[in-house]
Amino acid sequence: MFNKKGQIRMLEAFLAVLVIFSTSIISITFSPSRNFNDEKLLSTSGMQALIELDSDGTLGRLVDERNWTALSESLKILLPVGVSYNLTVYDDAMYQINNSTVGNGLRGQKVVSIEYPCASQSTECYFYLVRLQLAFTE
Amino acid sequence: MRKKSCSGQVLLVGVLVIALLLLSTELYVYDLGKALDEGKQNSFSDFILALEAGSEHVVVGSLANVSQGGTNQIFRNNLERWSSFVGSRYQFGKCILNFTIREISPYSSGIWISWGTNGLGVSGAYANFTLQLLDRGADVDLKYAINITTTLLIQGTYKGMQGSSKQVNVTCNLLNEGNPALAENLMLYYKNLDDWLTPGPQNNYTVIDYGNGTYFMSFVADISSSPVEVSVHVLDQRQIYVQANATCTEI
Repeated sequence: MFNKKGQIRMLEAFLAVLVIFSTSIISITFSPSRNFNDEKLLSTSGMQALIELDSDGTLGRLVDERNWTALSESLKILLPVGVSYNLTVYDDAMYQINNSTVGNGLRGQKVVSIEYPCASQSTECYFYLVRLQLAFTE
Repeated sequence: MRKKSCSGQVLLVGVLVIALLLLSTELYVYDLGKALDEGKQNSFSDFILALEAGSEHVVVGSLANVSQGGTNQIFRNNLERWSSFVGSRYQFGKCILNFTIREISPYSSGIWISWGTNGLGVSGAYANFTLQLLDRGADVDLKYAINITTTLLIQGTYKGMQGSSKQVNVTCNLLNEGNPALAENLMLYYKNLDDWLTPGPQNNYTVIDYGNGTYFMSFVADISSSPVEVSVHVLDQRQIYVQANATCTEI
């Protein structure tokens, strides 16, 4: 009698676990995929903005010209609303070449940093490493 | 008897708690792995796009340099610098970018400069790239070619007027990689005896830009020699220089 009771309880416990497990699996499978984290979104947005800017050589040209205002304005247009950023440009010897801040004031708890190698189309062919830091403004 | 019932409930709760802990840990690990995989794929593809764009800019810049008087060696030097530069710039692993420049005719050291007298002028550069991205658990091997060509096609006609005066019409087409392209700067010359001269306002010189890479130029000048020879020199918007000479046909 005692043994049977124990077995039933064990069976009950396993059934409960099975129900919880299957419910969790079903809810995860059918729930809409959420953005796993903001980091991915930020780095993708930043990279896409730089790729877009570099596609016709504009990025390299603006750096060649040291036109930080135009570069900042272009990024402001290309990045999503609600994203703050800070851009630093290094030459091929890794010396920082932007002497003024390029950005709209980086603020936010989670900051993502991406690096983009860039070549200018000028006859001298300068190479730059563009470091873009991004955060969601709160 | 009472004691036994209690232990059964504790057992039940314990089993549930342990199962939940196991489940949540498993789900967390699964989700994290999925996100890392996606992130890695994105970083790969974005970095590859950046490298392809950069490689193209290097080829364009080198061709601009060579077409304006630089040596062909500049092309190889710039590509070596670019390979070395990107080699240490991949954040998630190792990046190896190798290149070969085209040596098959009409290319020499990857450069094709042909500024002919038959109305066709070509400035081109060609390089093949092999990219290897070595990451933890994922390797990418990619081959791509960059072919940059600026082509100028010109044809001219002339009509004899009083004395040695001639009305000359020249049409030129500028192409980048076979597609119509705009010129940054365009100069026309005509040959009179042994001198190349530029037509000016005194020659009623007019240029019509059709906006699709086609330019029509017209002028009137005293030209002793016949038939009329013209030369068009163009700098495209990528700073690549090309020129072509042609002998005009009389109409």
